[in-house]
Amino acid sequence: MKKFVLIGNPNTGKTSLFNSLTGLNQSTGNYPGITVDRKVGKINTGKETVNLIDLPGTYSLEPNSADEEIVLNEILNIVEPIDAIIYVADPSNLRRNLFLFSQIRDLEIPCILVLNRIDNLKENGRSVAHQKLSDTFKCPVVLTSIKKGLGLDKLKECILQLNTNCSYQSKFELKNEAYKELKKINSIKNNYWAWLIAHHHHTHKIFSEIELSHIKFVLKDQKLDAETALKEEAIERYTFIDSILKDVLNKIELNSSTTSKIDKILTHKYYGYVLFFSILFFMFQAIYSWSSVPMDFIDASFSNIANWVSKVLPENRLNQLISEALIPGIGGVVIFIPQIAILFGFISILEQSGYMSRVVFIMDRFMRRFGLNGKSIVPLISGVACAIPAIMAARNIENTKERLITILVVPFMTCAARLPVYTILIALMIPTNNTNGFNLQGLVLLLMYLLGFVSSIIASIVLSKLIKQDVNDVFIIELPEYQIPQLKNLLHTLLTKTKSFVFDAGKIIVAVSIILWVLASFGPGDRFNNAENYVSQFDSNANSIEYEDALAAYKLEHSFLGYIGKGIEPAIKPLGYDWKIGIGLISSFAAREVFVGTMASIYSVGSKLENKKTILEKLRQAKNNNTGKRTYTFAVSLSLLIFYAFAMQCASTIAIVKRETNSWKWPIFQTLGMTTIAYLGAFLTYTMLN
Amino acid sequence: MQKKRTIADLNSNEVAYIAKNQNGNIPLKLIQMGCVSNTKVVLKMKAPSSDPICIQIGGNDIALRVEQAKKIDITTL
Repeated sequence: MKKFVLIGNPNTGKTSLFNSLTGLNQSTGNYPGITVDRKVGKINTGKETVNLIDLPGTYSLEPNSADEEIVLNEILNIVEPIDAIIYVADPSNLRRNLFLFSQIRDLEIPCILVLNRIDNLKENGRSVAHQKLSDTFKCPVVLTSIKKGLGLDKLKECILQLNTNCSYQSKFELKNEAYKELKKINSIKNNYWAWLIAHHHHTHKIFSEIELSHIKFVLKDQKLDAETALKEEAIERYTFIDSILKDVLNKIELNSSTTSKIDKILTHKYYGYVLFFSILFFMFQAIYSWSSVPMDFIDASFSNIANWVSKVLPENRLNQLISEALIPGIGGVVIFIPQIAILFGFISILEQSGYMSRVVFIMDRFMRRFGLNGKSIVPLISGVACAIPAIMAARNIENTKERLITILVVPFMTCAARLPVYTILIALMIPTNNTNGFNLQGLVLLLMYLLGFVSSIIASIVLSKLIKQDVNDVFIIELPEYQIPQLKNLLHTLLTKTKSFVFDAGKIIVAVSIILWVLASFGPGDRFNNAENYVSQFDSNANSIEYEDALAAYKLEHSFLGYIGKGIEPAIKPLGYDWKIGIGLISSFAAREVFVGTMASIYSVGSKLENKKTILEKLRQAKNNNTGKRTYTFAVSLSLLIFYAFAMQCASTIAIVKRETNSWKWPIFQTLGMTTIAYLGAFLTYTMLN
Repeated sequence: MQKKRTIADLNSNEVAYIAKNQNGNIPLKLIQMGCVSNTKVVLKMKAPSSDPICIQIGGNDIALRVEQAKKIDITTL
């Protein structure tokens, strides 16, 4: 199958075009959030199917930040070479858009130039001589407007008919012997290709160690000053673009008064901040109030399904596996959907409208005080949904130190996975009291979010003192024109991103549920397998239900899971926890939200006859085997709450931090650091309250 | 002799041109975004507390920190 890639500057409507071309026929290899990774989709032209890859927006093929490296790596991919490039440009910003395009053209890969948002241009009384562009760059030019659905058929037709031989001949010259030598060694045909390899050999993975050291040797030998060379290249390109621009656009300059007017309010000294915090406040209100009904519905439905299945299927191990592990496990994932969808919806609107860049602009000064960057605000806000896309969103921070600190502190933010744990612990701490419309539980939840934010700020201050790194102090961000977010695009983003979140997190949760169930349902030795002999000895007077309960509890205690829990009990006893909570903690290191599912399976395995009770009731009645008192006292619940606020319990986040920082050092430092804080915090809380 | 002015000294909506031989002082990314010597530059707005600032280059709004703006000379010719 042919491989096409979609390239363009940020804010050109590239992702909308991708969605329109591929429909739902796409698979995201990435996590939800902003487009920071490659997305693959299929275009069906009627006669032929083409694989299309959407790459992150970039201003230049020479990467300044980690997200831009993805683009270069894809271009220089020699294992699966690109058949053609679809370049998306916004004609309102043609000068800058042509810069990257001229680089792309120098690669001599077949190409289609798409001038998107052509309707915007016409509204401003401007026109673009697309024939002139087509002649200069020797490639088809297609005018489109995704918003109005114009030009898509033409583009598809163009894709189908695209000549696989590139008719453009690059005039790119190699001015230093180093490039020429490299070109010779690697038998590269294209000049610009050799140039890119000379400057960016370290960012892509196609070279062996020997080849790399040879490249480095050649470059050193010829004393190549990379910075100057790259700047000279850029200046030459702009000289060329400026020479043709007069013939292409009838009016070169554009002053968008609408954007300026909106900016006056949105970046205002006072209103700007008031508005920003109002939007945040509204967002969180909406996440809770809009999601409660669907969440209750999902919760009830899954417990009904589980009960129904356990009655319908013949009573055996398989029945138990399905009704006690699989269905509650899946339910534990599905229940996330409403909140996550609402959150992603909001973040997506803020991103698409162009507002997020203004937030970065007005927050930079404030964030800098804590060793962060204005751009850190996007990862921090996204961190409220999920740390994984948030950490990836930090890629566009050019300053390496500020990026590292952002990555390290994002997991302190209260992510969606903590929410079910918090909800249940808060309910255990505070019985519902809705006096005068004031909700105490809601207040505690809000405090937990504040705690998350404040700890991430404190952590940044500490880290910025600790981490010594060369600072390349660059902060450059485009403030794009405001756009009205398109509903179709929004729903599309919402659907694909929620889906990928649910499946990624879901796999772990379901797997953990099943493993837990197996560990709880089997045990070593006589005490588990012939529990009847032990229980009846001291419990002969009890009635049948109490006897069943006691028997099941005894079995759980002597199952594999029970022994694991007991094994770590000494370590967590100072925090007020028993071995059952210990099991919850261990399984939470896969993912936090597993805690609720784990508690559900532990207590429902322990009490078969009370299957119909909700998990909250079960936890309220739970007794600590050591003390014989209620397990979840106020002190224990709060101590657990603190533990979950700080502990780094998410295997996926650890994996992502490793990938993003390219070393095990930082994820290990982060995990140990956060978990130590969590342990000490929980210990202090429990000791003081008890 | 008139004191050298930089982008950081621009007043709101003031129009100027990037001075000659400034390319060494301009960060690579800004050059790649079209900010080269002789380009017209307009100060669009300043963030609260006057840092960062937003300049317009070729119909394009770009925010940068004052620290960087101070390194780039301008002429008002």
